Amino acid sequence: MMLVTMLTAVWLVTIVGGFAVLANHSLSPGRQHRPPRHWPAASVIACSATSASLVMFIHPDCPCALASLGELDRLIARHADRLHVSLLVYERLSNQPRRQPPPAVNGVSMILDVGGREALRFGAATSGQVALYDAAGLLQFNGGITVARGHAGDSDGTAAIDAILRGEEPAVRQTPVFGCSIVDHDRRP
Amino acid sequence: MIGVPESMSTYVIRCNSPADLQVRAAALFQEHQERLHARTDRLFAVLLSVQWLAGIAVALWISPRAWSGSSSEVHPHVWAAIFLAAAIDSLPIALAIFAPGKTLTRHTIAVAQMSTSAMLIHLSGGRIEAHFHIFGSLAFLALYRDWRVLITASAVVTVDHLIRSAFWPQSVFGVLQPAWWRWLEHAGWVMFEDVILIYSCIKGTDELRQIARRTAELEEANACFEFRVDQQTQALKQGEAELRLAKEAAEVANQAKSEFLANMSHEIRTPLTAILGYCDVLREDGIIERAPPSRIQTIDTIRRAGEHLLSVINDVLDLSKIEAGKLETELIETPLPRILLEVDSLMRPRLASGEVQLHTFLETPAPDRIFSDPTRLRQILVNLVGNAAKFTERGSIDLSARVDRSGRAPQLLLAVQDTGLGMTPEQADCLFRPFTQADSSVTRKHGGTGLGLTICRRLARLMGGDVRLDYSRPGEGTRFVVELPLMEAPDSQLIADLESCSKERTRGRDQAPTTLSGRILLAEDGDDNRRLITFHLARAGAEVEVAENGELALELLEAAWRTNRPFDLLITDIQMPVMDGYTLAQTLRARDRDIPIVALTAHAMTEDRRKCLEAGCDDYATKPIDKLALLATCQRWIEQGRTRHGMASDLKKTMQHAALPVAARHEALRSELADDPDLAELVNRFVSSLDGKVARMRARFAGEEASELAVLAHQLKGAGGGYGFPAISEAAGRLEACINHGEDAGRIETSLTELAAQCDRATAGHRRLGEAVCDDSDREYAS
Repeated sequence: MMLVTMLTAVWLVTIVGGFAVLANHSLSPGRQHRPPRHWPAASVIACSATSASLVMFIHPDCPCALASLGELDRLIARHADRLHVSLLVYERLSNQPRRQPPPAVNGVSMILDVGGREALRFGAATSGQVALYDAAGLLQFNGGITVARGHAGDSDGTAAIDAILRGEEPAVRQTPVFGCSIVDHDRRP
Repeated sequence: MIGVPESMSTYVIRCNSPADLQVRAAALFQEHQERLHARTDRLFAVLLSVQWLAGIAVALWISPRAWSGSSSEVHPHVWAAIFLAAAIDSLPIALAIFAPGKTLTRHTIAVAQMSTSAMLIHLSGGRIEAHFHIFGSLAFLALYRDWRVLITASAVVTVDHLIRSAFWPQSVFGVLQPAWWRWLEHAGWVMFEDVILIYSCIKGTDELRQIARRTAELEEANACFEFRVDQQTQALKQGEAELRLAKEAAEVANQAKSEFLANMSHEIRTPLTAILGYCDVLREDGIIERAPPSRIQTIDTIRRAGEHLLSVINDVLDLSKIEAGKLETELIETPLPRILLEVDSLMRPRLASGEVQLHTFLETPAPDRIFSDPTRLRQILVNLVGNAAKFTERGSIDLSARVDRSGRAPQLLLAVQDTGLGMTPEQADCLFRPFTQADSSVTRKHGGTGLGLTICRRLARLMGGDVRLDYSRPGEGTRFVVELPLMEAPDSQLIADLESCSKERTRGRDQAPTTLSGRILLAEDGDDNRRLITFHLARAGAEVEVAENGELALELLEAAWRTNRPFDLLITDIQMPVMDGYTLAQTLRARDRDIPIVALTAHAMTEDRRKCLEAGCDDYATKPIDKLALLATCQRWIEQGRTRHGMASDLKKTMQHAALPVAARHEALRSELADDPDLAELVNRFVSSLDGKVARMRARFAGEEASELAVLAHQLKGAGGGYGFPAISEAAGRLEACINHGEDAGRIETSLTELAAQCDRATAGHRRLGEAVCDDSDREYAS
């Protein structure tokens, strides 16, 4: 009986520990660099002069990108006339085939970021990172728009973008990003 | 208390015990619950295993790898699906296998199942659809019909939500800052389902308890039933054993009774023989007319009393034999007119002098010869006429015969009608009951044992018929009718009256022998009977020697043969010390001694007669001795013996000319009717048909057609004696008896061979006779 009780206790601890590890992983953000304060001139993407420009970088095979794209879709739905969105999808230099094609988002032009050059220009290191510039090309917000890896839903990031686009002062201008590393210099998922 | 099936071995059923019923119902419920829990444990073990594999598959599909640019590694969710899920499932699956049905097992399973739900929700990124897994799991857990398991599962959900709402509300509520009561709302929805499921569990459990109660009641009813059946079976077995013992005791008692009756028969008849015999001697010795009338009257009284005593003994013995099923009737050729006339002449002297007339007649033409049992038929008629004579003081008694051919089978109806006292219906109701007469006054006035009519009816039924009271009225008389199946003998003739037969009878009585010539050896152990029989035989002119037992008789016989002065006849008692009559006859036949043997026995039944004949005797005479019958029997066999020897002597001469085997010549049979020229042709035809008859019997035997063989044997038995071959009749009778007694094939074959030998002897004897006649004719012609 004692053995069974001990086993049961160990089992319960294992389950709780396992969930804790799982939660820790989900809540651990990826590496993050600050994007340039002004829209990079070398970028192949043009900054909109009439509306805010939002750039999102994703790794096409990152499982967490689906949640970020889902949130982006909802943002566009709310601010379609005030927001110019560019979705940059990381493209390998080699001819390695993609596991799956990058997901499409309504009204968004998808741009292949071969070798992650644009990501380097915008300082994006983690899939799902977003940079928001105003019509003047000044950085207004950067970070992720999910609260955990692969978890859709309300987040501080979307709330900040919503506020900026409404002309209000956001609660935060930078949030952590949850996703895989876009480039090889950071292999941490 | 009785045993129960192995599955209930821990429980013992007591018939009619309410306390035990309750305990049994609880045990059954518990047993069912354990089976249900164990079965559900196994189901969840399978489900957890399937979920584990499915989780791995989903993880591999949704998030197989974690990327860093162009390089990747296995995604942590895959490891979680493999190892964390394995950790979750390991203990409950192990418990389901090794401790099924235990409380801990199902609660562990509940925790594991809800943890799996939590992991699934987490790995799917908090998709709302994944929450249905929780509700499905709760419903599945309700299969346990244990509401506590639902509480445990719900507690896991609640705790999970509580923790998540504290540290990561967005993962369960979808918003960053949910209201504080949101976790209660989620738990409330779970509780909503729980309430329904718990209610269902409680109701289901109640139903299970009721089922267990009914099952216990059914078991108890069955057990009670089995217990009672067992008790009754034991009682039946005991009763059967007692019955068997009683039957064995009854059989032993019956055997003892039979032996007693046989001994009584011998012990009473033997002195009666002397009493009645010496009465005759006294009546015939000297000049009886000179004796005082009172002495003659005394002698007659002794004679009458002896005869009455003999009659009573015979009745008692007959009834005993009938009731024991040991009395057999014969079916042989019977001269019907002669039987009627014999009864007439026997009963006429007993009628009230001058006041009562006896008329014997045929109502319709009747066959002169039928197949029946003459002894028993005579006994029935004597009894009925005797009864009529007893109750008729004046008027008449009619003994009549009639053939009724109106039915499916012809019947012989023998009626005895008197003009006597008659009976009231109440008195008539008492008829045919043993030891019962119309009323006790009858016994006082008329005597008798009350057995007569009973015996008559039993005998008639044994013969395939019946005796019934046709009518009876007080003061008008009585009429009894004997109904018998009519079986006419072959070549029988219809006769219209008894006149011609009456002449034949008279001639027969006139021919009763009064003298005998020849040497007779009498083997008899009783002094009285030995002296009496010797007296009768010697007085008739025979030369008589006596032996006190079979062994002495055998010595005398052998000595006579050695000195070439053989005896012409052996009369032997059956029951004797040292060597009995059966053994004596068997020994003589075994030594091939050809001497006529007449058995003398107080055992007057058919089977006694058969035993005598089977032992090798040629005839038998019953005790008490009927002097005339004995003398006639002796004369017949002495003459037959001489004829046999004479024929043997003739054959001895003939055999010098014929090449027949010695045995066949020695055993050749000659018809007793061979000297009657009127019958020669009939006898010739009969003998000529014997080969065919034997061949048919052999064919029936080979074809195992016992009943047909018995019919053929029966026919030959009836016909043989009629054509002057009693040996054939006897051999055929033995064959028939063998078949009817169901003896084995070997015995039947032996009897058949014996009969065939007798037929061969008859055929050979007839041929020898023909050849001898031819030889004589030739010699006469030559001379």
